[in-house]
Amino acid sequence: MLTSLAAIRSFLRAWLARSRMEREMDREMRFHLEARAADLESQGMSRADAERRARQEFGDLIRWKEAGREARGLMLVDDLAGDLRFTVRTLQRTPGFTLAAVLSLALGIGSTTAIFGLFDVLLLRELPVRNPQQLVHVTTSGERGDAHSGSSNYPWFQEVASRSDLFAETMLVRHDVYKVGIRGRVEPLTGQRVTVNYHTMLGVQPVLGRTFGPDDRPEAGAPPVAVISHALWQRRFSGSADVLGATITVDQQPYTIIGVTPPTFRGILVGWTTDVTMPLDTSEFRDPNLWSTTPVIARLQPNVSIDEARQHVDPMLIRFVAAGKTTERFRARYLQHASVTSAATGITDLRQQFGSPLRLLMIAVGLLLLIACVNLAGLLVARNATRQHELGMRLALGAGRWRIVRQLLTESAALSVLGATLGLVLAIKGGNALVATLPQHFGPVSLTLAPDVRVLGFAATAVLATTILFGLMPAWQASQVAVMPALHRSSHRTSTRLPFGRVLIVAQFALSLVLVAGAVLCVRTIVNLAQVNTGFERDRLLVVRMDPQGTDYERERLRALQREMLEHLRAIPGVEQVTLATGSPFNGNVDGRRLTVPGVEPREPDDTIIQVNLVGPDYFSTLQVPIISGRAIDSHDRDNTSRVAVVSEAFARRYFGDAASAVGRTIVINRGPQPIPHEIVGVAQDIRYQDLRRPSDRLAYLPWFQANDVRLASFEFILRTNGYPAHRIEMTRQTMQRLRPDVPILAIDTMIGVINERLLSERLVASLGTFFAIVALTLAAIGVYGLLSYVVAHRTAEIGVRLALGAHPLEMVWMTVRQSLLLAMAGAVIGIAGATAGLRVLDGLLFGLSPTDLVNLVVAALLLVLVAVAAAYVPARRAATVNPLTALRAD
Amino acid sequence: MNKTTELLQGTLDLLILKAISLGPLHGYGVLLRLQQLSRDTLQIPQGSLYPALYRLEHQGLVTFEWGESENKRQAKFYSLTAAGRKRLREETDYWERLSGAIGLVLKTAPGDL
Repeated sequence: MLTSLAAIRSFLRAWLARSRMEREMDREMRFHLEARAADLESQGMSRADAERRARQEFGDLIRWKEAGREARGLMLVDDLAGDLRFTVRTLQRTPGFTLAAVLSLALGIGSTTAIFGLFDVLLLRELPVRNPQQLVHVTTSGERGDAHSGSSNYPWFQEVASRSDLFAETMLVRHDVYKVGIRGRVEPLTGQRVTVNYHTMLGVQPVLGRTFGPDDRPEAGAPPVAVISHALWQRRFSGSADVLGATITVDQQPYTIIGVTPPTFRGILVGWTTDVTMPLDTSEFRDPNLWSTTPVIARLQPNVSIDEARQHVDPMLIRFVAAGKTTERFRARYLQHASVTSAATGITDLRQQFGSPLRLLMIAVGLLLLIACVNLAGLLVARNATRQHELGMRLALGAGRWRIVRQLLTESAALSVLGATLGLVLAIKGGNALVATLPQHFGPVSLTLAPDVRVLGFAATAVLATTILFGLMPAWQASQVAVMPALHRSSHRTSTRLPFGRVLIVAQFALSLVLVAGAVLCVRTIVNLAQVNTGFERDRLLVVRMDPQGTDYERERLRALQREMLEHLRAIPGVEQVTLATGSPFNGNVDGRRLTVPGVEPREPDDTIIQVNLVGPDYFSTLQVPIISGRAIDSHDRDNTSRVAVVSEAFARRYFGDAASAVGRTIVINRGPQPIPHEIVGVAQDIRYQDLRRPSDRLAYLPWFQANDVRLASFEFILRTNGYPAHRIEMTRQTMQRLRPDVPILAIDTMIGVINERLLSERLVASLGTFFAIVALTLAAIGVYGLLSYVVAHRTAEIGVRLALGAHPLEMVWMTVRQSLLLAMAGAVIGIAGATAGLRVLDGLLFGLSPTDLVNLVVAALLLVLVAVAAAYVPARRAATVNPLTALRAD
Repeated sequence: MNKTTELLQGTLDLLILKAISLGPLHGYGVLLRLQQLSRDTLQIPQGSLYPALYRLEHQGLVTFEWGESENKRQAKFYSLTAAGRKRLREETDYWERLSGAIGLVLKTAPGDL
């Protein structure tokens, strides 16, 4: 132990400080020569003679130095270089094997790293702020509540902030998309309004100017100021110092820029770069009964754990809500519980939406990486088996077994490094492509997926594990080659059965089946969802999303614009009908109002609320939603006519028993504080409104041009075209901009596009899952091919004998294919068992089928068998075309 | 001229260990000490000391430090490590057994059997 440590130390010293060692060696030997010469001189020789004599006695200086270096262990370095050179030559000799091995590793490592990178950004990476692990998000939740964007108001915030025993500091952060005008150009940007302690609490220092101080509080009448992101500073101000003091507009209000935050800090909302930060005017929500989505972020006291804080905030909320006048209904929905979750990695809705799909994908890529490694191991086993002759020869010539193991390990390490490098390139490309598929509702999502140390670390670990685990086993096995049989090359003495190789193939098939079955489930789910009858024409609709907030379009001007636009849009060639609405299907804009129905007692709290969609004339005909009873809303329903409503079938059944008896009844809907009675003039068939998986809640449609209280919220024009709607997108945009260059178009998309965006996590899992399954099958094919090629090559003589004795070539084909089939079937059986147990993780994602759907498993197993037969084709043909004469002579 | 004897293969390491065990020496000092101890009988190729010393160092049997020689020059002084002392004992035992056995065999006269 001691000596080997010393050897390592000496070797390292030699390797790391080679030049120093050379100097020392030189100095030491020169000392010897001089000392010897001096001794000889003192015995009476002349100086020149003494020096010559000393050199003679010493011998060849260069040779002794070389011997010295060797003794120092530099031999090992040279050996390693030799190993590498040999490896390169060997790998070049078998390009097929090399390509297969490198590709399988690259795919495995690349997909794992890409998904891990995304996983890391969304779920694991801490914010670049001071002590991020102390940051917590104080959330509220109820039966409808959503833990990640819980409600708050200023009094509740003060209540939390007053608990200085738990929290060192507390802040409010409200994110929004603002229309930001810089030098006359207006663009939508992600921004936030925060309490003025935001930057100091996070410990974020400006790179330019200053951050907010107590004097910037809008409540105290401070002039409006803003801090901008480094990215915005670079993009719109070219990184110039003049930015300080410049004025920008945020929703048309002027703000003076006072500072720029560092490039690493992008705000606390994961996935977004928060470009503009302004102080929050807290006086706007001092009413303890009004709650809004404004996260309360706190910094824990150093000695307080998240669990302790959690125990305290719940009773706090219950006391707080009990003291206020919050309605029971609101309390039950949103304010039942308060909790504390870590905000160390930032806060995000993406995490909620994609957390579980990403976990699924992590499992899938984990399987894939495993398959890739098993595949590599299988390839190595088959290959080393074909090299038994070579290895036997090398053993016979005196190579140590350890030396051979080392050579084989070098080979698999070289393959791993090549595979990992290629995989990393794939990961970066693929990861960014993956980010590009994330939702675009609010502008560009800016996840940073540059490979960082942790992603690289993950890839390196995967590589290392692969090399050691799967490189060592075949290497060891191969080094156990018995010298004599290997040299005799006698096929009956070395194993042709490769039991370990077969186990690996079966394992690969089994793992592949799980992936394939999972992918087929996801794809079938997408197909099922695409076939859901939405209750309206979805294939030919175009949706133009507008947002007049913060523009000059208000009230009458907005109405005029809408009427004008309706006419011009209708005139576009290929457009059949046009309407507008506040809440077209799947746009996410659900508007709940208070409802009373004279003569009907509410049976449960939900009966007093109704989702309202304000719709223009022709809404039902444009979307082709059938009117079951009564009439649709038309152009006669305007300001000066009596108030009417069309309700959904579900609504009619709930309150009046059936559609027909609803017509003519009155419902009272609150518009702001004022209850306004509406007469039901029609009943529309139910549609899928916000969720493809289930029919809509109860809906009321009110006439657009009767609603003089239309909030300045976003709305949509909906066009039905006579063909493929995507072809009309450009023309629609041009028409609108020609008419009014300043119209606030947020987005133009087809209805299919809008729906697909809603299915993002399903599509993400399905498309990546399919890709992974294809990769897995390809790898399985490669594995089988490799194994059978070996077997056929090894049994060439036997096959030759059989053919010579009159066996039909087809029998030889069957003999080969049968092996592949047996392996596939064994794998399929194990895989089906695994899939039945494992695929339950997909439960929440599937639609219209069960995770253990029989058809599905059969389809997956058939795919596997197909791949097995295909992979066996080439080796089988080779077996059938063996020439008996050549085969017999060869051995 | 003295009558000299060539070194037996593999014994140089043992001799170096022994020489150093008597006190730290530099390379040339090892040579002088060995010549003195063998009364100039052993012929040692001078340069071969160094690969041997590095080999012993690589094996952790000797260690070194830079110091000043008799003639006030910087030289590398080698000394034994614990492992080196142990090895020296083992090798000495082995050598004695071996040379005793060989001596016995060689001294055997025809009548002894």
